[in-house]
Amino acid sequence: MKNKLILFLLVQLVVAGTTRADEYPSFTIPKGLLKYANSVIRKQETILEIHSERKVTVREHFVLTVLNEAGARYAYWSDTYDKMSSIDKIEGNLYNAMGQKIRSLKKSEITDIPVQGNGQMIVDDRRKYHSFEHREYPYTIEYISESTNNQTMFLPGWSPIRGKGMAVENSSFVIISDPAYTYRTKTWNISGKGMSTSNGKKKTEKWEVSQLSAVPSEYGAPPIHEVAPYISLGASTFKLGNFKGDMSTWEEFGRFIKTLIDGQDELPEEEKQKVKAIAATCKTDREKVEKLYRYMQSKTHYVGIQLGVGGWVPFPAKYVASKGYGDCKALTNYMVAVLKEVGIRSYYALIRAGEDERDIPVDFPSSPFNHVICAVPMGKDTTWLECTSQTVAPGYMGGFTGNRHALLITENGGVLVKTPAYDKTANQYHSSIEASLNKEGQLTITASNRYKAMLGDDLHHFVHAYSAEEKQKYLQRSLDLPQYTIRSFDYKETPGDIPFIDEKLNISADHYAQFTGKRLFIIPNVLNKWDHKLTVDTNRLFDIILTEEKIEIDTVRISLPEGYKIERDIKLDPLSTPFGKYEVSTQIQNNSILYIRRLELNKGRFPANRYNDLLLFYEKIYNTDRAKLVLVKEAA
Amino acid sequence: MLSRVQYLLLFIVSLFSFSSFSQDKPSFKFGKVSPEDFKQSLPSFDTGAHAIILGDIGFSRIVPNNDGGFGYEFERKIRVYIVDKSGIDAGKFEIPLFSSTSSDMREEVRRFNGVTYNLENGTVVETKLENNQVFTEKVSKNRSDKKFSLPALREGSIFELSYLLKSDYIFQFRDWAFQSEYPTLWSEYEVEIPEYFDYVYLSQGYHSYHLNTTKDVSRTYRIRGGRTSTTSAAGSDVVISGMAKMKRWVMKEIPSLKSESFITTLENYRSKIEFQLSSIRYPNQAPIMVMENWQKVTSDLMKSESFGLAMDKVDGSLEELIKPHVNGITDQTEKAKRIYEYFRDNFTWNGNGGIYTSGNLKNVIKTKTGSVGDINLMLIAALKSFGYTAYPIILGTRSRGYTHELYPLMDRFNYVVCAVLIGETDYLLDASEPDLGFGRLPSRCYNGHARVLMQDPLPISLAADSILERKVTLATLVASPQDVKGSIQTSMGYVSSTYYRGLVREKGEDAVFNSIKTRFGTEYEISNTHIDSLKKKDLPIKITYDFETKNEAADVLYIDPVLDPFSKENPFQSPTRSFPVEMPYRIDETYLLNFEIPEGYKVDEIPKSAKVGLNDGDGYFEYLVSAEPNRIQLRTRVVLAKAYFAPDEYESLREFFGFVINKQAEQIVLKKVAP
Repeated sequence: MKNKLILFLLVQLVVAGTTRADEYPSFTIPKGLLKYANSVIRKQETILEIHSERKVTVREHFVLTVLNEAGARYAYWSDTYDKMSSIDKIEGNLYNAMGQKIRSLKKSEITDIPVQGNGQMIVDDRRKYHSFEHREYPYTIEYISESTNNQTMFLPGWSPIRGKGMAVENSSFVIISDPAYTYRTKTWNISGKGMSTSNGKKKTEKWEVSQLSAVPSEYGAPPIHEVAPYISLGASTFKLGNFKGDMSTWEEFGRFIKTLIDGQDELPEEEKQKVKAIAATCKTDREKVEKLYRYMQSKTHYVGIQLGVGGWVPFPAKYVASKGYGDCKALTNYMVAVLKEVGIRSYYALIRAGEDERDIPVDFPSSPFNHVICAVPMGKDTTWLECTSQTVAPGYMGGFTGNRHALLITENGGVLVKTPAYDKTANQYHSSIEASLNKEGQLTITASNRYKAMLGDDLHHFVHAYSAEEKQKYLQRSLDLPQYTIRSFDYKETPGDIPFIDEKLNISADHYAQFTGKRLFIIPNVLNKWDHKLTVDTNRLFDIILTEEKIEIDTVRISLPEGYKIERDIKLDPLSTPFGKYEVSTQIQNNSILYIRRLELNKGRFPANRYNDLLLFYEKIYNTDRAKLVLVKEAA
Repeated sequence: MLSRVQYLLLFIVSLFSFSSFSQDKPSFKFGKVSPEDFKQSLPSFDTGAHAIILGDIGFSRIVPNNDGGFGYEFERKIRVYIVDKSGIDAGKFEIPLFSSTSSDMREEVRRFNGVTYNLENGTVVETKLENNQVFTEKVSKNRSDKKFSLPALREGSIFELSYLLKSDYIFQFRDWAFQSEYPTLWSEYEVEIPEYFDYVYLSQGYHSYHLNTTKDVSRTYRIRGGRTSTTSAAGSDVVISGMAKMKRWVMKEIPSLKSESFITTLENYRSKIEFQLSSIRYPNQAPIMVMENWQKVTSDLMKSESFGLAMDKVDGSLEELIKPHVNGITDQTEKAKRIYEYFRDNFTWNGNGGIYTSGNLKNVIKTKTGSVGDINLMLIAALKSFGYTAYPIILGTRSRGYTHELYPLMDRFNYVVCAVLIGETDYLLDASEPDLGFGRLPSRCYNGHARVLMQDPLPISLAADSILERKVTLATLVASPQDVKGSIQTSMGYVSSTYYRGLVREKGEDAVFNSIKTRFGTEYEISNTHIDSLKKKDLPIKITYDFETKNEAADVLYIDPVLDPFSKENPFQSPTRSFPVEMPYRIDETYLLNFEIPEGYKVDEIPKSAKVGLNDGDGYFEYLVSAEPNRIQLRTRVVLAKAYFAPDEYESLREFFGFVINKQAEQIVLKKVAP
């Protein structure tokens, strides 16, 4: 008996000794995992337990070796919480390269700050954050954490590789739930079904990956979840505060959202009269929508206030009517109410907004949305209204919300509808420049440029938000000219389904051309030089994804001092590639250079082995746009 | 020797004398808005305004608080006109309120009053800010913010806001900024300070006061009973009478503060007034000195657990740590260098600044990671333990703003480095930067006044003018009808060398040459790449490589002779300038080309030699070219003799660089000789 006890103690000690000491020395990482890696996940265990529709716990154990400074961007622990969730435990340790513990996390080092989004004024969400701020590489961090969520509308997914340059030794994801509870999964680059077990009381599903190499960072590469394992999780029936919903179909999920917005659309009597009076001046529904949208834009502005049920219930329309502000939900809800008042049906529509944001998985109902817009069915078309902007044209959806699916909240539940996309017949830039060169090399430029559809997205903000003085200042530093002064400028925007902006610039550019004796050196491309070069990469791994499609046409006429003819032309055979086309031409007419440039870019997905072709395409454009024309004065 | 340098305050406000004819209040009355008030034109001095602050009036007075001491009340009234939609942000407010977890000190805000006025069909419509629109956000244990947006704001709205803030923090008496991101027609600040408190007033900026007055008033203060330092009798109220000083400052027509390039920090140029409590003199009590002189500050720092004492506590263990690295070295300078290198190479900076240690230095020795204060104070301690004379130098970095030579205002100091004296020479050291050499400081430290904390604390000037960034490029070019070959050898300036060392350390030498390859393009072969002196951190580095490309057998060849121009665009694009140009260093850039003319060609055209000066010896540019039958030699040099240029020197600076850029873009033309 006594002996047994000693043996038992010994075993315990040995076990404790082997598991704790020097568990994660950096040199034990398999060599194969180091390629492209800035950090390596040694071990990650995520256990998601769905206790009920009102309680989900997440337990996580996470060990990461940071190999270099680039890997340090993942060397932290962070999570958000709000009134419906809590962070219950955070433990952390820091190890040196040998795997020896340097120190442990101290509670006082955890920061706890409100989550601040762009333009947000007040939100419920707060973030806890910790980092060891270590800089001696390699080192290893370990975090053990637990959190509780009191809703099931959002269930966390699993992404074992968090970003480019991260390798994984071992990572697992376990879902524990009641046998009767159904959740749905959508998986990328990993089997759709995990290993299932059940003990009668609980069922368990587990996924596990090991020895995943890091994904290098490449130009125009697919996003990480397309090339690495990724699991998205969705509830079937769920609870959010006192609201109960079902998201097994988009239709049902839409029905749930409808319960959140129902009854919020009442307008004050005075407001009703105002909007009716505006509608009375219009002949068509289309005109009513435009006028009322402009009215909404003129009297409201965006203020992010996200309190209440996870920030999902909009402030009532009468609040917006009296205060003149709200967030995207409140402003859209108000717009829908205004249109309803004049007999036009429109819908509150959820969308995942953002430049270059991937579309939502249409075959997997879930809640990936971060924004709300207004959709007005007009016959077979739909007019889309961005209610947080005070300037955008009615019906236009730029890079922030265009070309993706939105979930319309209709009387019959949710319906997915695609927002407008703009192709290269719409995305066009036409520039016409009249310039004259004096004998000192100074060029006086009059430019008339038109930016259509998405090419005007950035300019739109500039035109509306900048004062004349700020425009002058910005123009004075943003043009690619050696030295110049902006003499005058003007912008005019023409709204419509395809809005466009006309820009007029008068510029004098000093030292633009060089006269040496009888010759004149001048770059005929004055304002539109391609500024992007790629780096040679002979080991390109992934497809190239190009998202921009457009056409640019530049016509430049430069009048010269008399008597010059071309000695060296800009020689380039027209380029025609899968990525686009490019051609330039120059000629002398009546003591003037006439230069014409045409660039057409295609969007699409191209195989990795075309990377070098793309590099050459860009480089030829880059060099040709900067090529100097040499003119020589004919002997008198 | 460290020398005592006259430190010049760069901005001295010229004070208007008070004239009884001056307007002494804003042109409107708060609370009274008429339709006329909406006819607001843009101020001529700031036509780009999105909103106009018509009046911003603050009044702070020190009064007894609820805890038996003194606090202050800050009353603010502001009226703003919204010019356009971008100006609506002027109606969004965040008022931080501080409280202490270790004492009763706190701040609170009362009497919120916000009204937006809109002109609708000729009548003025009021919309009030309601209490439920004012949100409180807990930012940290010690700070909560009141956040709100004025209601019903649109283009052409006027709003007024007033509130009363009560604070126990008389050590951080309310500062006042006369200048903001919107133009202000009338900005006024008044303070009432009882005779028991002495404050130092620090005003800065480019705008002068319209009014600046002082008067004395008599006041009676009822100090609440309870804990107090003003009276000995605790428990009952005490009434004291005394004089108070009322000071009032007014500025009129202040344009918004706008950023410019080549500036240390815009904050140095904002018109504002700040206060530092220097002493408290309660009746019948010994005065309490709050803000001390440099002597006292230095001796306090030396006794501080997170400064001087921290150094004393570790010096023994440091000696043991370093001994193996300096064994057998007798040369004093060499030994100091080894000690410095030990810290530079073995300790990593965690990115945090500050002059203090961040905690226990023993812990830092364990983790080998620490703040600027941790690493450099340890370096000082280590040098001292080996018998060196070493001092801390505290300073404010360029992005932090200037420090004050006269007043030891410690919150402006955010960096500490080491001065070590060896024989007659002193070396300034910063071991937190891994790529610096012995005796070098990073350029962010060159921000004027800095303080050597020695027995008699010594002001020194770390001027950007004292650093010279010297770059020399030697290029050879050999052209034949078939190809063009060449080589480039660049000795970098020290600041650039530090940058490249960091780049190589993080991304390898490939990163340097990949960017050169990308710049040349795929038509060029780059070979024989080499970086010299990478590890010799006291020296600048030298980058060398060869390049080669095919040539076209044309009758006329065009050669861009300046392969490494100073810049392709004028660094000073703006035609006008309001603030001084503050460059990080002086410049001396030389480019030398040796070009062999290919056989069968002769020079057809060649740029002319030229030399231009900048102002009176502030700099020059020379372009010297000489041609022989088979070779061309070219030398260009850009020299700036100072780093700081006043706004009125800007135009010539811009013209100077315009000339440089144009000249360096000129080409050489060769022509085939008729056979």
